[in-house]
Amino acid sequence: MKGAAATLIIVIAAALAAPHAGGRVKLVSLPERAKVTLRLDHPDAVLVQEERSVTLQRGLNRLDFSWKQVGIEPGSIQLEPLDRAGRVQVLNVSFPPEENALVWEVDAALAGPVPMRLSYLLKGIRRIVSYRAVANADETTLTLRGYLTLQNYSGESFDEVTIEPGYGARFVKELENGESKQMLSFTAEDVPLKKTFTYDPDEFGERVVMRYVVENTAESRLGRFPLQAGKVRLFLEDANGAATFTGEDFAAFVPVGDTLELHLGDARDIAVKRTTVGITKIPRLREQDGRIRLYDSDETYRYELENFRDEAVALTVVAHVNDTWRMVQSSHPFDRTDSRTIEFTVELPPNGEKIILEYQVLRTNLE
Amino acid sequence: MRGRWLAALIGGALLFAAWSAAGYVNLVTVPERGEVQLTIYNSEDLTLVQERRTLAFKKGLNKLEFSWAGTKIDPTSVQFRPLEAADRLEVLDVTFPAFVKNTLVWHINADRDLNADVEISYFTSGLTWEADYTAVPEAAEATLTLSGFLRVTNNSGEDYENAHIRVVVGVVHLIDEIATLADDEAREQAQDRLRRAIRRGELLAERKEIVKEAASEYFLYAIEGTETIPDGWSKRFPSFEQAGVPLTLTYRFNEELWGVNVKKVYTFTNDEASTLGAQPLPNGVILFFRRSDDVLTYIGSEVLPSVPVGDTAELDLGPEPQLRVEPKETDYRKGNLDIRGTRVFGYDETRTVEIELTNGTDHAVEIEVTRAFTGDWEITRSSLPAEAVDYRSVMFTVPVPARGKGTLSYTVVTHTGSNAERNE
Repeated sequence: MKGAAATLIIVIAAALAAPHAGGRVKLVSLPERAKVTLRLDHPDAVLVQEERSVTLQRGLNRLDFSWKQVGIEPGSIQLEPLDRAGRVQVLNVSFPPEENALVWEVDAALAGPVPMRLSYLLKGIRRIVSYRAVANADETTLTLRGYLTLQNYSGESFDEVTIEPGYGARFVKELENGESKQMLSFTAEDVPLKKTFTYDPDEFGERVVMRYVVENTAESRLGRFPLQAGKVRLFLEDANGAATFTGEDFAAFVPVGDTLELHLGDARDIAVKRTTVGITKIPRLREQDGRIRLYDSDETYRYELENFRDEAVALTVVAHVNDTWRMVQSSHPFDRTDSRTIEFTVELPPNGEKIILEYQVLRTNLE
Repeated sequence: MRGRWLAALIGGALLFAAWSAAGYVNLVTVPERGEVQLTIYNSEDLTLVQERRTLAFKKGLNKLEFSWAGTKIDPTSVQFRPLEAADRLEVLDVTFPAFVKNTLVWHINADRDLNADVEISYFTSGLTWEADYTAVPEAAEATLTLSGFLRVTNNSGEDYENAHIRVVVGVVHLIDEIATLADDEAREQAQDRLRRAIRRGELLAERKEIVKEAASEYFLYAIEGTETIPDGWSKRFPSFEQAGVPLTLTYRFNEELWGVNVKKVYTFTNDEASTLGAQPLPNGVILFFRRSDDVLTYIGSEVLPSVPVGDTAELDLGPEPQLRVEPKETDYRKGNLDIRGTRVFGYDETRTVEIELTNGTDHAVEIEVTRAFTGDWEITRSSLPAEAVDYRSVMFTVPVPARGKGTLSYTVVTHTGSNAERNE
């Protein structure tokens, strides 16, 4: 503990005097913090646990805990004697007016040092998860490093504190008030990587989006814990082993077994030209004045696809069709990924050879 | 009770006439401080204070003065009641002297010299209590250890030393009446009712355990022994700790209510079978911790609603990000058109939905998936049985293995227009 921001003051009650604001006597004996742990298991809360050896007298003892300019949540403070035999009992806790303090009454059946655990929720410690992903030159694997950054604005400084993030490595560090510290949580090497190219104008506009896809599984040298949400900086290793920054994306939380998808940017060397070849209305039911009450729609769409790279690429073309529909014909096989979505995966040869994708759908029972 | 704020002074006079003519000879006898009992309500800012003092009365007219500067006492509520020799003591009148603030005087006639225990009671505000809890489920989350605490806060302007403290759970109905009473008379009547009710509970309180009062719907909870709470302080007492309370863990998915999140929910029942049931659980904040290898981990906090005996508490622990439920409509068809003449009077829509459930945790789970529909709908097929929840929703219970996936699929047909047989 530095700067005496939070202090545990032990008051040994000599008599049964009431803990009056005026009459409160503080017999100061600052016990050593034996072990301090910051637990970050909860996504929004930091639990501080400290063990201290407190010398008690037989009978009634008063332990006075007070703090200044430290973001302690008073309702969360707990004192737990680690003496298992039940010889030490916390009777009650009093909160004095207009003070950041509390007073425990502890009954001890023995005199001497007793290990106690003090725990409380501490506000003001911000955590940031970030990643650095370096893909190998042919973009088949990557090295993923996860970092945890703690920004300590809690008002409390920690000399030697065990940081338990709840996943990955635990750290033993010094963490001053006002200090930020970035720590390496894990490194995973040779993580299999799939690079995808997607054209989905309804979702992303008129561009081909590149993504890295990584599975959070043991087979992918990950899968030991969920990946926390955070910013990922992407690098590409060149032939000399130097890393070039290629962009960044925000990774969503990825449970074990699930997929991490990282948006890389747009592929400028894949060209897609989409045209509507024709839409024909087929009347099914007409009013007497000739107005159409019910019809089907026969629609044909065409895509000209060109890959100007010097290697073949598999491009996923996504199209959306509303209402009841069926595919009449298609130049390429397709997946119906949901009731309104068609996906074609088209192999594009290198060097700008043009590929034509064309499909015809019939939408029915339109009013 | 500190005499600084509240003084009961007794003056004895042989003759009423002598007192009024020759002036009052104030034989100031600060009476022996007796017991004080606080009965604190948490549904309103209201506390009944009952003080016992032993007073010496002279034969004839006695003047008893009571003052309460600097406190939050309701002057209309102050009452004097002999606990002994009631047939020998008669309260003639009570006077609030002119130009004297926060003081009243009782004129009491005694038919001989006597010492008697009396009770002075009054309502004060500024004393409040609240409950809070910690809950520690064991590793398998099949049981939990529930600890209850009571926190009493004293902002009444008065220090209370060595007081018997009782708190009242519930009483919402009665208290609400008082809070809404406009005229003094009705307020007094309500306070009388309350006072009588509390007296009925007195015998129960001495047993220092929680007993349900038969006639009403409230509980008195007595804190064992006496406690001292100075003005401005609050004090928190452990009230119970119960290990091995059976716990039901459920995961719920309801897109309409919570979007993509899967909620983790604990339920436990406040009854004997669940090792509880001795008392209703007052509403209060509950902090959840997990204990493994003797290390506490904070899971979250929630407000426990008030749980009557026999009732079940449901606690929302928030989203479990390691569980994912992804519904997908895989097929849609509009058909079975009701065409008459040139008009379409009705049709059916058939939707097939496939739901993939992913469990990233290392234990198998069951997820309760609730799906809601509008209009005249029917489930025509489902891969797991659909349990009706209400007229517009069904629930499926889907098992998902540890670090694995589960699936659910169903087909729902919605009848519209002339095909519909029930109203929305």
